[in-house]
Amino acid sequence: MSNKNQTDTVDLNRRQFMGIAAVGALGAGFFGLSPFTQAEAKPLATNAKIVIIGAGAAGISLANRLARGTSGAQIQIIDSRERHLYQPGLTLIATGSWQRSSVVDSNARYIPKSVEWIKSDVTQVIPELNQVTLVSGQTLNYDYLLVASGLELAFDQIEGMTPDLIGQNGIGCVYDTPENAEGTWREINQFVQNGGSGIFTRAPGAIKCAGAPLKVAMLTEHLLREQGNRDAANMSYTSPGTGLFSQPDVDQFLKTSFPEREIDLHWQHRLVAIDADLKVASFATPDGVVKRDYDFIHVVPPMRAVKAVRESTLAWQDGDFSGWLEVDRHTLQHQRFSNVFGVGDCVGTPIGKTAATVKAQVPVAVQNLLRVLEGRVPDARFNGYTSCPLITERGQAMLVEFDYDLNMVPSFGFINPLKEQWVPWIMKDKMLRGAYNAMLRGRI
Amino acid sequence: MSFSLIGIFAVILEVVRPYLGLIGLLAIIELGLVILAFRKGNKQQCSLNLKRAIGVGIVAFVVLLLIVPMLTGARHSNLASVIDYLALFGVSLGGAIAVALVIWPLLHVVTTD
Repeated sequence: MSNKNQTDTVDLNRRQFMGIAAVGALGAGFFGLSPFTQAEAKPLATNAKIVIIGAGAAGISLANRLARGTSGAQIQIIDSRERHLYQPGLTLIATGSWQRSSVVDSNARYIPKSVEWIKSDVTQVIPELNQVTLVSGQTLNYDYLLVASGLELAFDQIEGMTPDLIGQNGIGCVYDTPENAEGTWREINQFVQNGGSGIFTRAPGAIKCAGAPLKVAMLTEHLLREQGNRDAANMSYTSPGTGLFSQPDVDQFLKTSFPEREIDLHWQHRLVAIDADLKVASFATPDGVVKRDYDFIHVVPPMRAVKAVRESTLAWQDGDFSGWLEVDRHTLQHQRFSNVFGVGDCVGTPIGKTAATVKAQVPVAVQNLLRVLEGRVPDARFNGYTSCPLITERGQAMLVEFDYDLNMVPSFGFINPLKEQWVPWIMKDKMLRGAYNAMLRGRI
Repeated sequence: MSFSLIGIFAVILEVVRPYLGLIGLLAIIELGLVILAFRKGNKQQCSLNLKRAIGVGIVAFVVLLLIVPMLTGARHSNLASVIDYLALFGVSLGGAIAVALVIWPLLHVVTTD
């Protein structure tokens, strides 16, 4: 395939994580007549040694695309985890719509045979030497490095909070394991049955799926109404800033919707401590620390890049993205180490730590790496695409898609992104897992 | 809008992948019934059974219109736009056609001349 055709393929693919799912649901045949049939590019012959850090959504998708896009390359993927989690489903487990088994899969099903899977974890990256060090002490050299290491949850930044507390004493969190999402559902269900005071928090800084805390709050409110118990519960949502959502139209919608649903909004509240025994949460506010009692609290921990990235010279050394992987936001190539690319939650770019973003980023990173392997300048560009099926109640959602400029970029012009509808709910509930798996296999 | 045909098929394949075994089994049974039905012949009976199958399909269509939202954990009150109603209509119609196609050879095989 020519380079132009490669560019076309990237352009066609990167916007359509949501779109393809909807097409599948609504009748793919109509669009199947489109002339835009994707052809496999001829693999690029190379003997480069390519190391991928992380076998999450981004890492596996990279591995599959690179395995097909190259011939002769030695590709290694490093991750000790055998279990693969469909993280977009954790919200649905935590609110009682899905079972735990719905999100648990196996990395072995998706990692291509031609890629060497090193079941270990990276402790140190030394880009000056083109080396990574593993937990075992083993050192790996690389010609090209793809960082898809994800992020870690910083529960330690909330005094008194540990993941062990999730699922007891009224504490929930959708960002951890499926087991803890299930525990969260137990606590939410108890809150729905008994009422009381419910606090729904949001951590400062970049977090993955920033819509999740909002969805948990709205779904809980809906469950209370369904139970006929809404009057027995006080609900509040705490934001570390003065907004609810980065996209301004959606932010405005939510700022109207939450008060209408009698969910109190507390601005500039950052959860700093929790007393699980007394059920008291402490928030840092401009007026000092405020303590609040709760019967249920949804804890959203701050998030950061994994230590091996955060403490390496690969990370931004200062600025808004300090500690996250320093990449050009459009080419996804490292700004100081040209043989390094980054994809997924670990990158220090504005907005979008979502699976939909990964879907859009991976083809760009792979094409640009192939260009570099050919001695050419990277030309594929990522526009910041991210997407959130913002569930407002069980059975309804808004299909929100936007880019770096916070402009809406709907895959389907006929689906109003600011209207609560059934079709986006079906997509979230029934279709996106299929789209996600196809992404893992590098097929979309 | 532009889409990759392979991408669309890939998504559909992944959605149905857990049910591929069941789908394959049903397809084999259906194929067997169709072969038996054609061997049986009798155009008049065939036409009558086709009408019966269409009748069953119409009933299935109405039933699906009523239950599909519930099968997705939603309610009819969640349908809020033309797109929602078109999707419900399309899913119900597709389901009804599938039911009629499954029923017809079965009817033709089991009914006596």
